[in-house]
Amino acid sequence: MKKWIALLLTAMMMLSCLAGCGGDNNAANNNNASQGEANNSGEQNGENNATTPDDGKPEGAAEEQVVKLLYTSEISDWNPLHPSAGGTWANWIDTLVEYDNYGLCQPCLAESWTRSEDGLTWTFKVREGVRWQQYDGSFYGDEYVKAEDWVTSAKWILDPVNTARTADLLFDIVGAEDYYLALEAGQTADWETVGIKAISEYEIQYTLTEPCPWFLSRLTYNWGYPTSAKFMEEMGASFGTDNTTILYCGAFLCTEWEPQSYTLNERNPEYWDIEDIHIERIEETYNAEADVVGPELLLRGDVTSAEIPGSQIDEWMSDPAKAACIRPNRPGTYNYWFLFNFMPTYEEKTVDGYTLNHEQWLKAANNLNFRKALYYGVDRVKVIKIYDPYNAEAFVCGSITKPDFCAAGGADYIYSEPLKPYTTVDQFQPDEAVKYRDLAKAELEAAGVTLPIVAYMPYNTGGSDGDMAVVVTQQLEALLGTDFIKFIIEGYPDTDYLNNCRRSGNYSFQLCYWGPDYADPLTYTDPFRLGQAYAYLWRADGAATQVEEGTPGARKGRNGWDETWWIHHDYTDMVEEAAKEVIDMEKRYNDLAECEAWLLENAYAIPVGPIGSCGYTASYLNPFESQFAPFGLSDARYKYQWVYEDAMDSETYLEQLEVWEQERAARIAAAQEAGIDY
Amino acid sequence: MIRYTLGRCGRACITIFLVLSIVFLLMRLMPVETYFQGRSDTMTDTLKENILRGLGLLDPWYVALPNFWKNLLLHGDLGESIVMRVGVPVTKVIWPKAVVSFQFGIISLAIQLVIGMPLGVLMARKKGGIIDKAGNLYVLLINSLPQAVYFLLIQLYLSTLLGLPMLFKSSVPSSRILPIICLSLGGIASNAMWMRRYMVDQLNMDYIRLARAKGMTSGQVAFRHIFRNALVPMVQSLPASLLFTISGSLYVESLFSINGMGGLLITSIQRQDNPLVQAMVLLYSVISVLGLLLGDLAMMLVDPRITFTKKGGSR
Repeated sequence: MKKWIALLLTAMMMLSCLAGCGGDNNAANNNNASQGEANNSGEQNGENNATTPDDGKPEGAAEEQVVKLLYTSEISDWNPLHPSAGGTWANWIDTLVEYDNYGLCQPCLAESWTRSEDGLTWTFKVREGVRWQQYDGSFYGDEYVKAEDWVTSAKWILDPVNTARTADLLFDIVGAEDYYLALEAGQTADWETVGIKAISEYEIQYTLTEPCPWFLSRLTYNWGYPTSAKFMEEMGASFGTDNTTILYCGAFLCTEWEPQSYTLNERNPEYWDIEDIHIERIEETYNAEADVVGPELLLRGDVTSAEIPGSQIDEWMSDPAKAACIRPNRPGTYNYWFLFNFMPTYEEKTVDGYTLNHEQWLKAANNLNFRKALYYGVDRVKVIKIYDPYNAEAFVCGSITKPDFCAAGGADYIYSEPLKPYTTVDQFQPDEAVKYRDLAKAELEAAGVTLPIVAYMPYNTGGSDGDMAVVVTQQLEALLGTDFIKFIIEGYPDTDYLNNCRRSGNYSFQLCYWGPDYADPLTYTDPFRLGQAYAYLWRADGAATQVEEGTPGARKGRNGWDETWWIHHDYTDMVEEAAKEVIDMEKRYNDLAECEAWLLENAYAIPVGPIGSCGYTASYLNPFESQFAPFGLSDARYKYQWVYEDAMDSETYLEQLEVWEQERAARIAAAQEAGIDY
Repeated sequence: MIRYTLGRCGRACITIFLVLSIVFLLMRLMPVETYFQGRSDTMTDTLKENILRGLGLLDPWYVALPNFWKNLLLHGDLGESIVMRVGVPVTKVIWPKAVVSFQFGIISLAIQLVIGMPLGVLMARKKGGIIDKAGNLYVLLINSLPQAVYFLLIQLYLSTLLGLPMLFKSSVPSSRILPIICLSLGGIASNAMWMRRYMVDQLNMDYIRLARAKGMTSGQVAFRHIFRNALVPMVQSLPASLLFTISGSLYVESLFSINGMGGLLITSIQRQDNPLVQAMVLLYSVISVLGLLLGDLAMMLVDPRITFTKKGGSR
């Protein structure tokens, strides 16, 4: 027996030693391998007279320009043409245009562009001399980025075999949808019929079915990446499966990557705009607990930027040394609002003596005074304090559209004339709420409604929404009285929450959100128009006419959720009329702002603000140097940015924010004056 | 024994077949939202249908399930990841992670056994003494404190105290120390506790009194009789522990940035990467069955009284 035990223990020790050594050996071998490959192609690197960036560092810039980050979400899809290839991705491949740090559209791989007078044809002059590179920096043969590379991308996306998630984004390009549907039906399709053409080696042209003033912003998504057909063919099925199976033409090269471990990005010495790339290296380490360990690593100097989680914010705020290192987050891309649902589907059950009833709820939701009582009754600051107890006021937003999204005539869209009454005056007005409550009470009782109105409010258990639901319902019940409104709140898991609650109409009153898809306020009208599974506004009394399927001009409510057919939805018609203006952007924005003001005036939505981005960050980067765009991929790039010796504090952040907003407005006004697309 | 082993293998195959088939069918009942990559509200129905068709999710189950088994059995093809590493064969996703977890796991297991078992022996031999009390306190603390708390304390404070990196980096050997400590603490406590318990149980047996009466020294009794008998139940779980080292540790790997297997199954289920889930279920089913089988065989080898024949067999 002794022998057995000795043998077993010896075997275990040997195995552990081997295993312990194995990792290092493998790592060493891998390093050698990658070095070897780099050396093989080194002649190309060595021969190139790589431009070195300007050394003119700003005051306070760090000696070593290295960004070190933790990341929690692994790159799951390396195919550049898939939408999940976001984040750091944006630094590896450039698009035709991009947005600068003031959010103005700038030439990128396109040196210039023209738009036809009818707004249908966009022609881009592709920058010459940009070469395709491999992950190690070596050139990919003699391949240059050319106009045909955008055709390759579009062809791949519009081939149903590839099940590209972005195919429908191209459907407003002439012939694109027909091409896709023909291939899907197994028929032959002719690419010549599609309005995406390389009209010369360095000229790419897109022809649209109708004018699209925000077309430039759409080009900053994945489908706007160029792709080398030769490389794609060479890679076959392995194209876009890791950092070595894609080609680069961006500011950084992903030289090393180990799944769920680390990503190393090095500045591309051949980058066409290297003067604006100050950061030499981006080192990213995967850590699923980044929010817990990130702040401590920042204090040790091991990471450049870390969000301070809500559980640690009090500790950071109470320590002056730590408080001096943090600043408020920049408002994010998603804006949040409470919505009234006009297609309730929840179970009509009794909870604590209160009975949920669709008919009663619909009578209340259709009553303007009822909606206004809630509109003026929601204490926005109190709601936001759940997510950010220190800076809630700064995140309050009275419009459906997020702040700093787009501008016309030098003014941010949300402060345009139609929206000013809602964005410049605090909309939490308890006296008004009580006034409208009394009016609603009288009208609803006269209509045979039994008070209180029982409203069903689900929430996502995945974050802090449970606390939010408790706070907002208690606040409204306290202000308006439980004899007027009573909320039944219920948590649902994060998995498939949107299908279970919002899209299915499983709510009376709920916090919803929307993020912009392109640079035009039309994007924020989507959730309220016929066909979207948000509040089902077309079902409000008198909002639209329900018709039989097949009636000319009729549209389905929402496939899969509301199978009824409708025409003449007042809000949808209003928006479509406003969107017809595609030349005079001031008029267009003003008309769309009128539509938004109509929603607010009728209290169909109760805006709160971009609460998803509330909180604080400790960072050695200056957020105002970063490229800025609430849509597309430009925002994820590191162009223009420097790493500083000290983290930015809140005071500096607020000062610089004010300056940035003024400069942004001035630049937009100047671009508009000069007739430049921005 | 060969007949017994073949019988066990046959039953194991049936179990694995049933488990995989059930999981395959259950995964098809999951919501399809995740496959639209956040574009569900704006994506056209045509495109959605095309995506689901491409993933084989529109095929009826009686077509999809035989296809799955055909690919697995005839071609050994478990498919490609559809969410977590799109287009990459699932075996290529799992293998490097399993290797990393195995490396950490095997060292940690060795430490657990080398420290835990002698500690248990010592505690049993010095029952009621200071070592036993200290050992019990350690076992109690490790079992009662939430792992997340002491792992985090180790990461934050021990790293400062010993000057070790907070996160794992394969090129820095010292960055392995803290994760291995974290991985070992629980196992040391568990091994010590069970070894002590089995040895104390043996202490009260008649044959021990007989051995002592025959004049054997306490050391001889402890190692020739008590330890050998106490080891039998410990040995049964050893193969499974060894094999399951590849499953990694969810929290330790998350905390120290180790690219191991910990949490991969949970994440792949949450993100509905069906082929990856199938492969992981297959892997863990095989490990479980193999672990039990090897455990039984190891027990038989350690204790000759245990046989697998019907006549006179103890099991």
